[in-house]
Amino acid sequence: MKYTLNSYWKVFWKFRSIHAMRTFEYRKNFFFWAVVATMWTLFNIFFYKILYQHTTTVGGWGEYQLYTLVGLYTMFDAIIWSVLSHSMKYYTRDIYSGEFSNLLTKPINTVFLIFTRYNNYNNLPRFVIGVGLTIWSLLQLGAAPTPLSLMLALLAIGLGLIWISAVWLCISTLAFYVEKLDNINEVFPALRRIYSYPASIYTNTLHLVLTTVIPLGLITTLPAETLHGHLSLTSFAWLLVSTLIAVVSAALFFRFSIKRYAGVAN
Amino acid sequence: MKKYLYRIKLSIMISFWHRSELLLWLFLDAIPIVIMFFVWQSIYSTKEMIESISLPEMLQYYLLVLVITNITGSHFESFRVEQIRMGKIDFFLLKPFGFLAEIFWTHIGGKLLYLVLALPFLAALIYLLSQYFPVSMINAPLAVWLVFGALLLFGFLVEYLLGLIIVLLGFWFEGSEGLEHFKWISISLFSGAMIPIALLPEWLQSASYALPLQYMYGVPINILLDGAVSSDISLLPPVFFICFLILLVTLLWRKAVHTYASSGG
Amino acid sequence: MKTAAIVVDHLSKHFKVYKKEPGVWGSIKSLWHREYETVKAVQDISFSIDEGEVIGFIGQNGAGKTTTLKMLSGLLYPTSGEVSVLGYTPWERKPDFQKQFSLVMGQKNQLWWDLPAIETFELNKAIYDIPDNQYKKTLGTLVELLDVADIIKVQVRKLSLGQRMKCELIAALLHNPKLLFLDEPTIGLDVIMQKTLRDFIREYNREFGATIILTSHYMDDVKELCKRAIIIEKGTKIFDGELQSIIAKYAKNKILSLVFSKPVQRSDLEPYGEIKELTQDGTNYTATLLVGRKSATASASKVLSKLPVQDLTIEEPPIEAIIRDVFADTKRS
Repeated sequence: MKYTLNSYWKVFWKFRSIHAMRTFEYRKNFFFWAVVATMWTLFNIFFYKILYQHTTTVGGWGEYQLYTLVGLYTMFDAIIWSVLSHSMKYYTRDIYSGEFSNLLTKPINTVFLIFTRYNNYNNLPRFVIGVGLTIWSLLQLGAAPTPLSLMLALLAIGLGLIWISAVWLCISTLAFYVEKLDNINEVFPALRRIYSYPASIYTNTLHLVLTTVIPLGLITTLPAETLHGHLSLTSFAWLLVSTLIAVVSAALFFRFSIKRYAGVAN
Repeated sequence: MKKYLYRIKLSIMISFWHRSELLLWLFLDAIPIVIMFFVWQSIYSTKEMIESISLPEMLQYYLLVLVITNITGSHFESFRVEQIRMGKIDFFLLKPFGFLAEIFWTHIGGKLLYLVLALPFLAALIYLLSQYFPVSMINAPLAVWLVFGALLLFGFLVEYLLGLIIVLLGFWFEGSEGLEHFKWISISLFSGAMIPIALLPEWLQSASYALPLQYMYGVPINILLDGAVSSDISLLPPVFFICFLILLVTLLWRKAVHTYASSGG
Repeated sequence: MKTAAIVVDHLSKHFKVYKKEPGVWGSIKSLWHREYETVKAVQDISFSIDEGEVIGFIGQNGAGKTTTLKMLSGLLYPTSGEVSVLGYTPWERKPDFQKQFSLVMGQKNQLWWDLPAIETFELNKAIYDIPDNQYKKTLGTLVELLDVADIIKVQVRKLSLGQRMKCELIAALLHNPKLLFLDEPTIGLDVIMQKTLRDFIREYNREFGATIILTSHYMDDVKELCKRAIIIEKGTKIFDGELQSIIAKYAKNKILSLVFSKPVQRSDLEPYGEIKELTQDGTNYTATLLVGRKSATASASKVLSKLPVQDLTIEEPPIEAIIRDVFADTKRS
């Protein structure tokens, strides 16, 4: 009997409801972390505001143009801290503890389980702020994205998320090879700052690399530019190709690494 | 004395076992600073000076922020609060060493090893960056360096004591390690770590100049960049602040030992 | 004729283990030079198991039992050898295969800690794609067999270890697996709970006809449930056969430990069994006797009535001793 999309859909929502129940169980916790997340977001935005007290452009981007990018960055951050960082943390933790066996013996795709098992809802406010900031900045700019631009921007965002997930999975899969590396899941959170600014601040080779083979520079810049009405087909092509390569590499590396999985002796 | 040396040795060994993590932290912590370099370089493309700070000085400022963060930073809060929550500190309460001493010596041992790895790394990074960016040189007499060293010690103690307070609050509050975030944001905002205090909005500047946190980053960096200790800098506020924090820690610890129920969980 | 559920042919698994010298210098050395050691966890094991059998894997800690089980579940790739479980190659991990077996490890858990067990059951229902009516029926049967109706809606973290273990079992059996691997299922449980679990396993095998492999280093687990046992020692199979014959041959004795209030003569004790140890040093008067398993109680009561006994215990020879004897025998032959 093959698993249908319907089965995966059911499992996905079952996990979401489990975490909703857990959030409700620990609601004080939820409020506290929602406040902390919001605080960080406002702190970040505040920093950009201070920068623009002393300049009119950063990397050639005006204040409101940058806020579009910052809004998108905040949205990405909300997803990273709600979903990816937890999934990857439990993934590496389970590899080290031997509990990964629980996942491997289930008749459902392991990578699907890894990514969908966990999430929290603490970053919902952060996501809302991100969306709000993006829309507000576009209003300030008087920019009205066409339906096509909107679709392309969403496509860019989707590709960005897939690229991030694939790369992060690769990095975390190193847990199969390294005896102990608690902060392996800190690598991506540090890298994400690269796309908290427009790609144009980076120069020469670094700029080239970050807008092509390692498209960290494109994650927020591309959808922001698209929303501003500047379509760059080359950038899109690079993001698409890099994402495909990342996904294929991640799948192969993961499969290869499972073979190394020894679990804990007892 | 032997007891303390042994504790340090043990914690160095444990830290060494986690050396790959330490190396990774070094690399990861450097990324935001490198990004800042690019940001400021792009901002200074349209002007020479911002609040009388030139680009080379601004870049040197952020390098010093990185160095100070590496020397003074503390990350033990989450781990220790979890130990309390799980009721795992019985062991330390029974031994003549005590929980606070355990935290202190582990922190020192870990920090020493970290610096052995960090200093060469930072030197290499600074060299590399100065090849691509116009970083200003530091030209300061020994006396200024000594004051800088004293303020580094101050920064180290503040981070450590604040961390300790957060850990001790873990005896009463679940999730007190979340207070780490408030600590970081406060220090970033008021100490000059995020941006030179002179660039902050007026109201925030006044607050920063009134608080002792500026002695962690803003003041030490400025005396090195200026090459001199200005007359309006006094070491009294930092000393008082440390005394205040030590008092707070002592009070909290006494209360905590009373409250602690070894069932934990 | 019964079909073979599991066929294992010359299975081996070797691991690389790193060594580190003690001290700070050892830590520094390990930066550029790491010494490896190859551990032969499983070495050339072959056996086959029919459908519906309940088999015990016996062995000391580190003997290779869990490693073998993991290869049978597809968690580990063998270094060499062939395995066929229910007609599948386990490490291909085909969903059709995974839906037919269940691995329960005594100290690992899959229940969500801060939610009632029933939520994990519903999750597994979705994961194993179990139809509604089958789920209700199986759940009902399992809940009744284990008598947990009043705790499945209580948060798992509030349950005792025994209750948690029962719920873990239910979570593992909701999809009616044909094959059950139980790795140290009774570890850490009290005597009553151990018996409850054993009764349940027996009942499950009877009702569903599942093939069960049980690993344990508690002889009692295996004695109560398994007709056939496979003894694994240092990665090799040293015995595969009827449990009764092991017990009859190697565990045919029990140990009688005695403390006397007065000195006793060797000749006084000899009629009751083989004297392993006798201490008469003026303050302590103790003795250890090996008595026949079947006559242990009778011998004990005779000793109590005839000699000045202060304290008496009857013990099973430890499984390590039994295994040592089997191992020694195998070496000799």
